[in-house]
Amino acid sequence: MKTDVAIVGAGPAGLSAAVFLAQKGLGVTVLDEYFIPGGRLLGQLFENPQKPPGERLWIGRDIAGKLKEEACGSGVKILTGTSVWNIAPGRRLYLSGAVSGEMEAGALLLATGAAERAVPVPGWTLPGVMSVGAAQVFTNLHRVRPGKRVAVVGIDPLAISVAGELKKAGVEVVGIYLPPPGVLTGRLGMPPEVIGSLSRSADMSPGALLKAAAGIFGGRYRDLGARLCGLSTMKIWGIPLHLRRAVVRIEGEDSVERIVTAGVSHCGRQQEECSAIDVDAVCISGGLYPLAELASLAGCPLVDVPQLGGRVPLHGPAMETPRAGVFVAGNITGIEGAPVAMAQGTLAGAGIWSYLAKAGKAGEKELELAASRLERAREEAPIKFFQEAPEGRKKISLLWAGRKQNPEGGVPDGPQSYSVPL
Amino acid sequence: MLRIEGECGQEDSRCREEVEFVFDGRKFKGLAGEPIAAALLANGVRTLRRHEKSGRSRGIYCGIGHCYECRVTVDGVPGVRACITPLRKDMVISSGWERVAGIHEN
Repeated sequence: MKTDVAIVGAGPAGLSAAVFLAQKGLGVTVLDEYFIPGGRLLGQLFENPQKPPGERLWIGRDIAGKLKEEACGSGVKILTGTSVWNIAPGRRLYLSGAVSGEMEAGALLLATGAAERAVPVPGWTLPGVMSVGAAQVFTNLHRVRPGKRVAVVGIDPLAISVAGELKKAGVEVVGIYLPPPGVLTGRLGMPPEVIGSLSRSADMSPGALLKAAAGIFGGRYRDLGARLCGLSTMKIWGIPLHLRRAVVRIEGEDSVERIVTAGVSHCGRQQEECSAIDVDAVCISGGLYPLAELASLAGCPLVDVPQLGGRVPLHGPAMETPRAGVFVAGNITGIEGAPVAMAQGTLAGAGIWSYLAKAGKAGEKELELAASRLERAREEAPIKFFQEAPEGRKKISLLWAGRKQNPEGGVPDGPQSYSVPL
Repeated sequence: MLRIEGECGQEDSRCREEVEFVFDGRKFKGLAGEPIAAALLANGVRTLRRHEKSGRSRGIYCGIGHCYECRVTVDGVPGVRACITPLRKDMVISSGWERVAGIHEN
């Protein structure tokens, strides 16, 4: 199989790039493991109180559907149920699933998105325990509840949002808890850290209540906030949010039957256990990280940037990587919301068009326009996952510029990964 | 009942065809085109397979095909991820579990 452009990932970034490129007359093939195009958009269902009434509801499924229609109408070929399991030099893709075999592409866009960080909790392999992302997709997209009585483990904006969505869907959410303190969960389980990250990301919170709560705990007083026993529990949409209580064990014979919780001191130490709480499902949240394995296989260097959520492929202003004809867009370059991913996709589309069609001045113009739209999308983003993301992006662009000036030294072109002190 | 009634899922679930399928020898009903894992969850079935070594139950975890916890055997094909495989009429699905010989429990 041959294609002008192969795009891995039919999410907001991949589909936006596909639409741009197909409208420029290029042959575009989008590949996705899932059987419905849309990626993470599919499970999203929330309200943005900053928008005018009538535009507040964000129904990801419908936005994904429109993008898909636009792509198909422009002649994009979308291959769902198809996994890309290897990339060889010359942008040769190896496929399996609904379509299998090899595909050679003139240019390649990796828009693989993000995955959820696993947070091990004793008993987490029991059926009924799932990630909050899974709970979101099953509830909002497939309209099946994860359980009747559910506990949420992990206190972050996504977890709180999903807890609210579950409640709206008729699930009894018994509470939102910290993960068990320990080496594996690290700072996720530290009350001051949790409150600090909550207050930093309150811009994205789907409710004004959380914003107010972040105001109470936020800023310079975050450590003090966690010390105040009286404020160790609060309610969000009627759901108890336990800032000082962790789920330390999930128990059950063949599936989830109960959770055991314990108090957590302000410095993150486990205190006395409490009596068990009956639940039939547990949703765990550990945050998102960029899904960059394919970039690594394609020979792109990866850079560890904690401000962007993990290891991301080194890339330039047109979303190009040091590997000729290999581009990146969306959450593979750092954790951000869907509108930003869409703008990044269009920017990568402009980059690929310039590269393939040798579009010259016209290409530069498109790149400029797409870059300014991306900037605006970032400014308007209701969801800011990492407050220090601009710092992280600056680091990437400095590394990119340094590499261009000095191709011999500094950043290697190979698939090595390296850390950047930030 | 875990299925949310009266509201549509993707491509309007109310219009989607109800189909029969078999899981581990038992007959169930689900909606054509929903993930196998969703159809089973709606029927209250959470255990999708058993660990090859310990025999302990396993179910959905990540829901996006990444963790491979939900793999089942569909119409004789093993290792199919139930969370990203759409349900079709008369599918025969099994947890396909057998203890792997030569591996001993700790």
